[in-house]
Amino acid sequence: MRQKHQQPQPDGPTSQSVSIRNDLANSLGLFLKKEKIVGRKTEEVLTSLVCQLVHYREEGQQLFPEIVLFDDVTSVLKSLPNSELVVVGVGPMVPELLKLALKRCAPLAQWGWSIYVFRRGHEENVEYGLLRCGLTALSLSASELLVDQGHAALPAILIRHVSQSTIEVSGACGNSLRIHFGAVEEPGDDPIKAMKRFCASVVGGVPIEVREPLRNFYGRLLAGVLRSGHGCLAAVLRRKRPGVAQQLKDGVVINPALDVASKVSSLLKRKSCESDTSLRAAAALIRGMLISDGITVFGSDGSVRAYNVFVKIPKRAHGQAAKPGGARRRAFEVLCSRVGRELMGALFLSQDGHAAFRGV
Amino acid sequence: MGGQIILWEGNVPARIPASATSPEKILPFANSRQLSRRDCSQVINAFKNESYEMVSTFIWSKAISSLKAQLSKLGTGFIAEMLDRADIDEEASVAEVLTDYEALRLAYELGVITSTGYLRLKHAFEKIAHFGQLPPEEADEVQMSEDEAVSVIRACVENILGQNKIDAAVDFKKFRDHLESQVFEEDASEINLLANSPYFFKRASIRIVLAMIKASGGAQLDNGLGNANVIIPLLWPELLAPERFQIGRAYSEVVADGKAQATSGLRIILLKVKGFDYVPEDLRSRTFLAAARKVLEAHEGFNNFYNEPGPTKVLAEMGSAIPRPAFPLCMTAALCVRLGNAYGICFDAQTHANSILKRVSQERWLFYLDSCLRAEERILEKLIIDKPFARWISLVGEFELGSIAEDVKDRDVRELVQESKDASKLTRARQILSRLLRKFGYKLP
Repeated sequence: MRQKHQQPQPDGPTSQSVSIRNDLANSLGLFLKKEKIVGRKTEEVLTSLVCQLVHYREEGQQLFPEIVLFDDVTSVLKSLPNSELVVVGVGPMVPELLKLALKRCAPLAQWGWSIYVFRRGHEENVEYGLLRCGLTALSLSASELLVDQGHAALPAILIRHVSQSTIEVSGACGNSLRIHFGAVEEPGDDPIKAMKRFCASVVGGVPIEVREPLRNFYGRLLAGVLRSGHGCLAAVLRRKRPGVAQQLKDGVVINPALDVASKVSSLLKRKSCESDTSLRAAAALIRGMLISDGITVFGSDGSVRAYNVFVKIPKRAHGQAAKPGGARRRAFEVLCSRVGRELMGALFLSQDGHAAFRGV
Repeated sequence: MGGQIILWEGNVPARIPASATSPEKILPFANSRQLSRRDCSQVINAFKNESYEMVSTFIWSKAISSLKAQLSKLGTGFIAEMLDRADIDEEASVAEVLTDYEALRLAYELGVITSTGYLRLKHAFEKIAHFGQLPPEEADEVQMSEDEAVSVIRACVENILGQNKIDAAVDFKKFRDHLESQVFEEDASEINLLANSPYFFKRASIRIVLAMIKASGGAQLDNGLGNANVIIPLLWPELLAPERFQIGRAYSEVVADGKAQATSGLRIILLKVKGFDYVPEDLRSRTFLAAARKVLEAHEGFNNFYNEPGPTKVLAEMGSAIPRPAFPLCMTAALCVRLGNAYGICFDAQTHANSILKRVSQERWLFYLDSCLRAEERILEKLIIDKPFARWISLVGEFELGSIAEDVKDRDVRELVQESKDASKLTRARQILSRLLRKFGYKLP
């Protein structure tokens, strides 16, 4: 018997349900294949994990843990010098278990600790817990080593926030997938690239032996600020001499400037506990400055010269249309107009992950 | 392996005729920039007054200071890597941290002096150290002889003070420059040469590229990593444990220093050679390495018989579970104390050295004999000398190394140990030792 196809009424009420879950699952499936981590259960679990992670809260506070997934725990640990692993649980590879893993581990995954998920026996079950590596504030982290510095010979996947509502899934083979949960895909520069360019600008005048560790130090600091849902505005001074340009004096000028390069240099040379503590303390201060209102001003020698700085925003000419964006965006436009003059570069990061960098 | 191919050779020593047997005849060969006329005449006068120890010590200090000053120009980081001494601070003064023995070893490795010159200088140093530590009552009775003083002066002038310029061998510098300025193809003639060279050159090449990777940036770092990617996988199968651990440690250090590019390069190499077993897991091995270095510093320095017991006791009391990355150096340190030198042993340190050696399992003895001894020049050089060799014979018997050696893969090491258990086969054991040293890269006189 032929079924009668029901035509929707053109003007009648409709009820529709839309989910990004299928699209996400498909994209993750393709991504995992490229990363040589295959398995139906993994696709399913990963999709669920990404959805849970994006707005994960405990006690009303949003958390931003990094999650690393891999198959070969022995090789992974061997490749991470000075690493520690805390096993929290083992169970079948199902979304509920990963939900429990997140619940148990997310509040602990800070100060260098990441959540790890170790697939045992081809998806038979998983072990999860916390993982860290490194000796000092400069050491590369477990996720940097396994994924950013990764290699196809040791497959691993990293799931982390790029901004408050964007999750990035990246792999040791170099593939990455960025999932935007905001209303729109974030416009402007790629936040990670914008931060990298800004960090390169901050360390441009630093001696070569300190440059790379200092750049990574600032990169990690800014990524932390962005990931935790804070915006920030920062500028790099062009001049080499100490102090702050006249136009950037409306704020807290740090005198003498916070010489981060010498702290990094001291840690590299002495490898002492004191140098490490001093650098970690500086990181805490700078993070506080970055999430304060106003602009944080750096020197191209890697120093921090001022924070909480405000610039005058020129009045709109009569009849001129207002530019989109809030006060931070408008202040950034002012900084951009000074790039090449007293500034080497300016960075804008908004709370929702919008980013822009202008530099010479 | 050919064993005869040499990538760089030590600078030719000053030619002093064999007939020159007194300071008056030897010192004219000294370079006036290194030893002034005033110094020379004072030395000759002191020698005439039979102040042989004073003269020898003075000449030695002039020679070794000159050598250290020249070596320091290579940079502290490079020196630390060439000696596998991660404990040397970048800001440290080379003259202070480098022991006399290490300065000689490094000079030999870089071709500043020849292997014969190295052995002569080392014997000269041991002589001075021995007479310098005699208690006053014994020193009055056993004085340095005229011949002994002449041999010290001769070795110093011939190899250091007689040189116009103390510098690394030209071929060494060329090789190092090439490693910095270009990336060798796998079939490049230099790489072929390296593959067929004695172990000594292979070890030096590994250390040069590691020093470059740790210290440089930009194009030099790119080239260093590119060359490491060619050289390390090529040499890995024959690299011994200490060199493999050195590569693992270098990786661990660049990770700790946040040097992402160097980390990435070394990580790829370690993945390629499956070498992550040689990356130290934690800091524990560093503590053991530092303690073992203290023992060696005492053993190779002045007043060694007085200075050995303290650090050897510390090492012995650190526990029996020596971490694997530190095990080769700890064993070498304990064996150095046990074997002593041409002038004897430190009796007070023997209990501690023996307590370390007694706790070594059979499996670890096998590991040391198989994967370390072949390139451990500190021990091999000792065995050339009669007294340490005699103590080696007793050590082989006491620890029953003969039966352990049955499983040693390297034929020369296996035979050296097995022939050493029988005191009647000493000539054969010495022949094997010579073969081992030649294979390592020594040109024995």
